[in-house]
Amino acid sequence: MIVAQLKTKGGLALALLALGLPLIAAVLGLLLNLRQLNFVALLSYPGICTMIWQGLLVAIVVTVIATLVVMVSSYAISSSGLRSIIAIPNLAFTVGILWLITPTGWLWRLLPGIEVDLFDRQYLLTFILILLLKEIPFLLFMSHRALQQIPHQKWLIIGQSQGHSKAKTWWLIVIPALLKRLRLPLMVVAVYSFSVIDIALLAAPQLPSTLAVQVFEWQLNFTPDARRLAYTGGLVLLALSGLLCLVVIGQEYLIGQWSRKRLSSQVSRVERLALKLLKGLGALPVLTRVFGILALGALLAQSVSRGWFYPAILPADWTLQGWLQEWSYIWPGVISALGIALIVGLLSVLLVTVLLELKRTYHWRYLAIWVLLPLLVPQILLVLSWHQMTNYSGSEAGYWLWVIWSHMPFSVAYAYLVLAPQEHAFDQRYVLVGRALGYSFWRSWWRIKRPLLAGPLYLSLALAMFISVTQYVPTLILGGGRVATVTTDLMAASSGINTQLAAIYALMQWLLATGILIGLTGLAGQRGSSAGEQ
Amino acid sequence: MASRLVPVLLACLLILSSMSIPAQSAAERFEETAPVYFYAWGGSSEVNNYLRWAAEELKARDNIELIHVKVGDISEAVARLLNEDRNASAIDLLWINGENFHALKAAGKLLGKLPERVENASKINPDLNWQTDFGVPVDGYELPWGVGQFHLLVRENTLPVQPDPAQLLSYAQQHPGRLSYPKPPEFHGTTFLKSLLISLNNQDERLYSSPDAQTAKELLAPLWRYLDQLHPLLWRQGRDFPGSAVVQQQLLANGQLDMAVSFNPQELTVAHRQQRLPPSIVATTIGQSAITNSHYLAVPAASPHKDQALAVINFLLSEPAQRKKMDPMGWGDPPVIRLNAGKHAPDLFPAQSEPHLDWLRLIEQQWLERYQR
Amino acid sequence: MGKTVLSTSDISMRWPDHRVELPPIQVNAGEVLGIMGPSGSGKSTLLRWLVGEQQQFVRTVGSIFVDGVSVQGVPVEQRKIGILFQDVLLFPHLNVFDNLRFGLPAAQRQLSIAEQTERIMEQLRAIQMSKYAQAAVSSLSGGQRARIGLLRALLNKPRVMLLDEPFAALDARLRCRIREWTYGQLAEQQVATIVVSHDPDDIPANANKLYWPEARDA
Repeated sequence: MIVAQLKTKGGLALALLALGLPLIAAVLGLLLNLRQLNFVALLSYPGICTMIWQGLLVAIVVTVIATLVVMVSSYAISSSGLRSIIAIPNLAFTVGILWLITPTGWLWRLLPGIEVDLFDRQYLLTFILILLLKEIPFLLFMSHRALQQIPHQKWLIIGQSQGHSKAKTWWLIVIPALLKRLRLPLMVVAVYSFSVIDIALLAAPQLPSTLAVQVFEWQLNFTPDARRLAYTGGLVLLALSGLLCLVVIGQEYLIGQWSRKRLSSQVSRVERLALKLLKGLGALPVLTRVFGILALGALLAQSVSRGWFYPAILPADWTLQGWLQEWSYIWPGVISALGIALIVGLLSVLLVTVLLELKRTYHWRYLAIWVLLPLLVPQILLVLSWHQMTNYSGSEAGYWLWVIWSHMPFSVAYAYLVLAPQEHAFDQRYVLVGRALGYSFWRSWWRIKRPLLAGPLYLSLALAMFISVTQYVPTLILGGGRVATVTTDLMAASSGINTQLAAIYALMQWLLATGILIGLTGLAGQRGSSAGEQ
Repeated sequence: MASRLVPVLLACLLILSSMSIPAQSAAERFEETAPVYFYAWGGSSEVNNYLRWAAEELKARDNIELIHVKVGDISEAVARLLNEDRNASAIDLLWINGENFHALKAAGKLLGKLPERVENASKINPDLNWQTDFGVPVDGYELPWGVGQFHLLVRENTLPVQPDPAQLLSYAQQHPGRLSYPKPPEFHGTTFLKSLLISLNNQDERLYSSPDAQTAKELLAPLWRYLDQLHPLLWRQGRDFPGSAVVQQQLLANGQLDMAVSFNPQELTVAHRQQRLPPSIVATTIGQSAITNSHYLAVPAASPHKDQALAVINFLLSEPAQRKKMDPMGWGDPPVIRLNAGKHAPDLFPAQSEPHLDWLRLIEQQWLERYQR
Repeated sequence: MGKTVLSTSDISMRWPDHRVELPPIQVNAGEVLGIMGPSGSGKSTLLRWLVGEQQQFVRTVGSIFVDGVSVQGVPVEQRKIGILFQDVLLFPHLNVFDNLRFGLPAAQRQLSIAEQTERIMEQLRAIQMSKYAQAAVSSLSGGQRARIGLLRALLNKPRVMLLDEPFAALDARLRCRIREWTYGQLAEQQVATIVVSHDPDDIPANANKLYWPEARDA
């Protein structure tokens, strides 16, 4: 009895330590700098209003359209091809897409005579489009996982048996339930679109840019004024992120209200027409796939070509020289990224598992908010306050540990996002039966729950590893330069004019990320085929 | 004549001695292999390759392991350094200049007296105006490594050679939308504005010292008048600007602009070799001269490997290293030491000094106030 | 008449808005206690508390003794109380044989595979299901599942079995047969059994019966 209690207490302590510390450190970091707040300076900064509305507009438009797309196409479209697109690193994806769709882009070179300058660099529209192309696969992926949790097929049959059309049943019964389960992923999409930096730097307008980019630039400036602006701006970013979460809840509420009303009344002609028009959005997921593949093709082509100027359809030269030159320098970064990702991924899944079991035992209600908080706080703010708290310099192993530590909150958040809904739907009586047959809790977990949840567990491991691979700012700042990964190499390469160099590192990062995602989710598909049925 | 001959002969001797004995004397070679973490921008394969070469040399000569920590923007390293406590730094060596240097110097984060600590500092070309960095005295806290010259990359048969501000304006009037510059505070963009400021004020002496309010107003007025005229004729009517020099070069490469900017005197050579720019692009300056600055090496005062870092600087300032650096088949960065024998340094544009740092701040701030809404 | 195996006292179940106080319970070896009451009244919650699990929103307190020893604070796996649900909960990732092997008591898990196999096959033969040893549990019929489920639980040699609506999923014809077989097995092995059901037919005629008490205000 006492041993068991100690065990759970130990687990609790471990969980709090691993999860709480980064956040506590961040909160302390924020509080310590409270005296730095200067709203007057922030509000009188040139262009601040445009930055804010621009950022909010983009986030809301992306969230709403992505929601509509998911509502329209979740049923029809399988998520099988989406993994490789989720795995394309942001920066590489942006560079590739811009190379395709800008007015001198490769797509238009195929269609001479047609001039489309809708999607130039540094246009709000381009920015929104790229975010959509990036976020829709993620959201569709999450919505497929969510749909597995609700008996939507049965609902559709029940609806039809009661004389409603399939479409009506879908919209009025399935969608509200689906949206409820997508609340957290949608919040992540909204906040991400609002606070993204790497895509915005290339695709968003620069005069002025978005608030997130401006905060990032203030952070990299070291005058006292800029620091104050950065902290104040960071807090505004945080507050507006909270607002966007409310927008997501509001959107869910409105759709819920609408479908409740329409349950008893006829769907009006206007609404019918609107729904038909929305069907057109169903094309977007297909587009994301096409663009994903094209973007990859563009990267691949750029890594082996030279002298490729508008309006040439093909480059002047094909050459492997870039690859040959960088080949031996690529691998150390790839291997360290993989090693870190493996440790971070396993620890994250372990931690999320323990947390979820503790959540069941102690009925923690606000766990999700805590775990997802790192995704809802501007990253640079977190990382710099961690650095301020840790202020580490010493042996090399120490730097690696801090890098692993700094990846954890983000990996844990995504692992949670994938695992929590499936775990929630798990029939815990299986574990009870196992215990009643004489197995301890964790042995029952290991022999029954783990194999039954193998799919989601592998998937969350894959996503946690993927997120670790793509971390730049934490690796750079807390790694003290001792830890170079393919991602830090890529960011350095991307800062130059040599697109070939950048393309090579981007492809390697993509290969690593995709390898992890496809490899582990493939395993998940094999091992977890029985997980769905209960 | 004799006075010039002596150092030349001495230098020849030095080279010969360093060539005949590949490793330096035993006293200079470090007993134990020690790492030097060199934080330097990693966005150029030419620079990266050069540092890979340097690392091999240093390993063999001095038993030093030079580790290039590639950063996208050196201010990331500066932010870290400013955040660190004073006991021990993760950074041993930095590649910086301008505002980044000024911030670190002001915070007391750098090791001083570098000219006395680094033997090869005596070889630095005295004609090089390196004792001030953006108008701020270097005071021995950094040593120059190479030279940057701000110039234009221009499509042939568009802009006149060495266009002055008036010619830029008249070209923009005839060809609206074909010119632009990186958005300040990106340093290429602000340097473009500084060039204009210097030209529009006919190289006024007051630009090289910190201005009072009246001077600032007086000298900046022609710049703002000029920009008010120019902006509506720029790319996107001046309502947006390329986010970086990289973006601007891509716009130039694909024919959307007729002009881009660069700080690397060998940019065009390298770009043509890599076919990043069409052959029809040529390099020129705004007016008669190019804003010229040095980029520097500095050692954090808290570096745990100061001696090794200083030895690295010493090597990077040596003749073989500086020669290798200026090779146009590689990086092509102009040397900062006087070269004695063999091939000469590549031709440079006539040099124009940087205005004082305070002008940069004024330009950045007022530009944003005027044009960012 | 066997000796008392399971006894409880002072059990009180507290929901946010009402509570239920249960009379003391005593079940002897080989006997059955049937608890009857409307569905949703808390019968299943009681069983899960008896087996050792606290439920959200229901706070249950009281004393339980198995063979005269208090199991208060003893974890589920050491109580020697088995539980069987209406949906049986065979582990879907294991076949019939492995499900049964999972049920072997700790002492027998050390035996050689051959010996384990022998014991399990013997049980399977006794219910004419030996040819299903390697079958996936999803391929079994409802009646087969019910039998395998009880077999798995009994292999573990529990002192007490708790049956939660054990026959509700079976059709009427089968139900009769399985019921008879189940109680026969439980009596034979001298297990003290509690069965909860809303159907009086599910409770054997000779069993003691307890009607679920009225809820009171909290």
